[in-house]
Amino acid sequence: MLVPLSWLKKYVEIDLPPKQIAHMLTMAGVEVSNYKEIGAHLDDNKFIVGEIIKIEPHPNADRIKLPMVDIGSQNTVQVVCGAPNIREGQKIAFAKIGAKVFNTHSEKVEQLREANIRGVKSEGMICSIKELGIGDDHEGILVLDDSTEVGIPISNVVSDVIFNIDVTPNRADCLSILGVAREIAALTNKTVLEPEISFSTIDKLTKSVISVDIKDLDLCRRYTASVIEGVTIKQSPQWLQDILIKIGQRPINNVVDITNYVMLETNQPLHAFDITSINNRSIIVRKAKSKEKLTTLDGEDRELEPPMLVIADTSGAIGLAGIMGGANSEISDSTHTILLEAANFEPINTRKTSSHLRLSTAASYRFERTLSPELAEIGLRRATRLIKQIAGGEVYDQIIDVGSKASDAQLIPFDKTRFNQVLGSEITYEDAIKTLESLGFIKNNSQNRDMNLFDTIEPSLEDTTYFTPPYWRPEIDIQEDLIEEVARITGYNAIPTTMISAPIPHHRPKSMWHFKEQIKDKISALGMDEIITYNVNSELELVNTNSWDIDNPPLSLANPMINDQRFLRSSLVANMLKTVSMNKKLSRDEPLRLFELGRIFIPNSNKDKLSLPIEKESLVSAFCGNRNARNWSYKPVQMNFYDAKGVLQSLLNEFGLEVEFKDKQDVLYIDGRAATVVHEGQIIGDIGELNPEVLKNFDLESSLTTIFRLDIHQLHNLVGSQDKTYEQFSKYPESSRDLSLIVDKDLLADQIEDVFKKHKYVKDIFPFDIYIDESLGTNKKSVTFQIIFQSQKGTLTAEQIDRCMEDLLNKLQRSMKVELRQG
Amino acid sequence: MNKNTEKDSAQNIDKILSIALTELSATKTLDSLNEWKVRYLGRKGIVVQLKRSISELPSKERPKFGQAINSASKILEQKLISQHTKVTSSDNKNIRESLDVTLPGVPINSGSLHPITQTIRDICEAFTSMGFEIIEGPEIELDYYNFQMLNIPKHHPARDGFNTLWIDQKDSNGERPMLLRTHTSPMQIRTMETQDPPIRLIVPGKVYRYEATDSSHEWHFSQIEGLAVDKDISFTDLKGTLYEFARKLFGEDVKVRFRCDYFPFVEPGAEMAIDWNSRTKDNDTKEENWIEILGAGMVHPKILKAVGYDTNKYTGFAFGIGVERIAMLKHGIDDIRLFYNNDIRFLGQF
Repeated sequence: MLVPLSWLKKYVEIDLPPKQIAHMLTMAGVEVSNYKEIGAHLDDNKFIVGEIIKIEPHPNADRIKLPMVDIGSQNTVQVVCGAPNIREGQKIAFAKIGAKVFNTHSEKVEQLREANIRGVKSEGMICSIKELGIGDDHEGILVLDDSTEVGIPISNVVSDVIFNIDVTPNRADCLSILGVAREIAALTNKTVLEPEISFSTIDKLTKSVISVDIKDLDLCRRYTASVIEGVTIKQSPQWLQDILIKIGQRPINNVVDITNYVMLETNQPLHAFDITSINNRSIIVRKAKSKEKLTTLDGEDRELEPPMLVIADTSGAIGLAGIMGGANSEISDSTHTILLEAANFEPINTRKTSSHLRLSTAASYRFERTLSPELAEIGLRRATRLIKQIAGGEVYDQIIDVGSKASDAQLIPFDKTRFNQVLGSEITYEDAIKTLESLGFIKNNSQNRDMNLFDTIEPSLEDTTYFTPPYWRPEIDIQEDLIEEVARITGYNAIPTTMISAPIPHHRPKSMWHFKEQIKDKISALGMDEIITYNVNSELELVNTNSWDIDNPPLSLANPMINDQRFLRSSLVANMLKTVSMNKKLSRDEPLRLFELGRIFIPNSNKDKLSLPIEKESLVSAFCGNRNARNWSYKPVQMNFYDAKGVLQSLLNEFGLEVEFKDKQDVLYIDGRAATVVHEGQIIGDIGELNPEVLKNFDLESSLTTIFRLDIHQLHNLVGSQDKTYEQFSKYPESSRDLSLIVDKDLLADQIEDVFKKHKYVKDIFPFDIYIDESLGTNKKSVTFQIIFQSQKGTLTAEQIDRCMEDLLNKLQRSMKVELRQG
Repeated sequence: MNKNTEKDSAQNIDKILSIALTELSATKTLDSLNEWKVRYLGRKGIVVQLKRSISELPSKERPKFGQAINSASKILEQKLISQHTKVTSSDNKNIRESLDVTLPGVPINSGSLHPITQTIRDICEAFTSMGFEIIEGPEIELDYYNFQMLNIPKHHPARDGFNTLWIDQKDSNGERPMLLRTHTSPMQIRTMETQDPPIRLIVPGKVYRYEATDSSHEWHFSQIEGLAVDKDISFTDLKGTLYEFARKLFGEDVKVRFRCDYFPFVEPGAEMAIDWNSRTKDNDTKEENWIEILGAGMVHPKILKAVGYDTNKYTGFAFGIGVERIAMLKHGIDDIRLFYNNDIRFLGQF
């Protein structure tokens, strides 16, 4: 919303600098996002108002004229000017020699010099808006209003400040200049000068030439109309054109410009019909018929449907109520008598119609935000007065006024106790009441308790004042609204700060959030970098990562940002691989150890598609590239399954969880290089080297990539809030023995380990040398274990250990094919 | 022998001494040390042989020569001891070579937390220290919780400010009931529906808006909701709590301001800004630079009523903080899109 300071000044006295006005409004909730100072740079000695007293043709050029310009103080100068719109008698912006003007050829601000144009001397310049540096228009010279005084500085005439205001949806009133003026008045203790709305009428009744029938009073609450006969449709006077141009509108003709002007001034949208185009002189406000056709003023053919509201005559629709007029009733240059409409249309239906037709206009925008029916008559009278004044004509007596005149405004209690309870401030109740009055709220102590049913507190009789909001604030509804009014006008900064005095409420024990943060801490301490990705994927990405459940496909978005982000992810893998791939291109073989702890979305079973999906917290970690960062001390080694497993085991150890790894078959992984992670029979995750077929989809086919995944909810349940229990450790020394075995190639390490681990003296066993060689026999491998012995009760002797080894070896040989390796 | 022979003999001893010491310092093992000891100081060693050669000298030269040999022999014995210590102390193996101390150390993989995770933690910590509990809520929400219960009915113009990504499921009325939450505020309702006051909680989480992305807009971002409902909670408490938060996060000297703003679920509504230039002590000369960091207000009485609270008894405040904005401010990040691009050159900096 663009608001010129000059326009505001018509209704309220303003003597503050623009910066302060902007700040004041912003603090009060009417945010001035920026403001532009126009013409402040114009030198008052160099740029002055002139009048063209005579125009001579140039002797050597057809299109160039030689105007004589009166620049006041009995000075007349001759200039050379090529503007097409130059006329005798015009008041213009004159730049003297030495003035800094914008040169439209060089696109630079340059000092004006005396010029000789094709043999004629030019002692200055008649400027366009662009040359003055106050706008982009360079169609012709700037023509000032006829009443402008010759000789005064141009800045007096053209300089202005344009405030750009972001109006919040609750403040429809501030979509009007008057609304902003009322804010400034309340904030600066000034009064608002309301615009004149009176006019004289002739002795013919409006209703004698037009009838209005509202078929749906819920959708059109009030319809007012006036008839002005004998108007002359022509260009608007300069001041009106100027003001519209300033706020970015294109002047059309005097009547249309006035309807726009009055809407911007008062907020009431208006529409002017050529009365001859209204069939039977009969206006009917009704719902559109199914597939009813209307060509709107923008030239679009629209097909309408109920309950869209139309303005119609007896032959059909002539306007889209509250949105846009119809081309069939548009006023033209030959229009002699106009019907001026100012009505009140229901917000929701207007909004639905506007969004359905994808047609949002200044009028629909205002009606959507709720206007009071009271405003209709005010707007109508204001515009009627201006049309009579500017376009001429006579106004018929007694405007048409159908529907309810009163606004919905009710009595709102303003209770002293509640005021203090909510604000907790030092603002006195008396000052608060004064503030409300300054905003136009009407104090009303009538005993008629027909108040808003939604009063939030039982009012006590003596400490409660009742207010009716002014018609321009129909959104004011409950007493908290009144409290905000007081607070914002007094200034939020005037309200003191305190800390909550109530005791801290009971908190539930450690939540999922804390558990997740704990995991992030632990896994990042293991050298993993956290990533956070979008929660969406393309269908292909999910299919390619085996994450698309055909029986229960992922939820999709009706309006994704881009098509590749249509599906709510059912797995974190695709986004992880995209991230690995992108970083891989940048870092080549440098180690990438990434994790994401995020949500996946599992739709509810097909039966109830409308209920919310299950949101599961999930963890994915990926390992790709070399084990160590570039360094002189290592030979590069690619990370593999065991690097991932090491991190996974360390993580689970941190939570005191013992897990088993069971061979897993999954198209996601390379066969024989993946495992499920099992805790006491329950699968809590998986791990594996990714199938090159999968990696290919992410340009990673030549990069060995291992991932592991964990179900965080299951992990949370398993870990619970249990504390770790201290286990006593032995104070006696440990001993070790190595054991080299030749075993079947597919014998798993933990099958041997399990046998050993059961023995009370075996503290630990781990394989440290594994090799496969033909010399060992077909399908055989050699595994060397180191076994650590320790007892809680005493130092183990060599004999004890030997015996133990012997026992274990016997046991091993009984249960599987193992052979002691010699040498 | 003449003078020359005298000189030659003394020089000879010096020469032998210097060779012996060079050889000694080159010994790296006990074996080589012993070998050296036998060669120079052994029973048939060079020193003994030299001593024996005294008799071959003219008697006049003998004392001087003897002295020279004795002192050389003493030096060798002393050096032998120190070399012995050196050799044995180096694990009986090699003596440690000197290092190029400028070579880089062996790299350790130090992981990192995403800057958004870190910022969420910083913010949460500020509030948990003031008695707020952390909870989370669903990211896929119902229109009912995301809008209707928050005083944003269908077709309300306030919905213009919440461009929504809708789940592609229609109910029997042809309406879409599910959406990606546009803010963390639905958890206000979900909590109040199931819990009586006192309430003091914060809700961190992802939120979504259908908005074109640029350096300061993401369609996918993070928010932290706050809610406190109790007896006697007033606007001054809201200010106090949020001012304290600002100081905890941006430092003791930060200037904070509240201005009126509109959110349909609070009344009165406010927006808080901090003066970014006020954080440093020498702020006198600087222009104010107010940066909006959160929206807040007193919980709308219609909402308290809708969840069945006694509005005579209870009041509350709520606020919503944009996490990315704060992370960008704190770390001088100029493009919001960096957060979800996950370039490790970016992530590694935090």
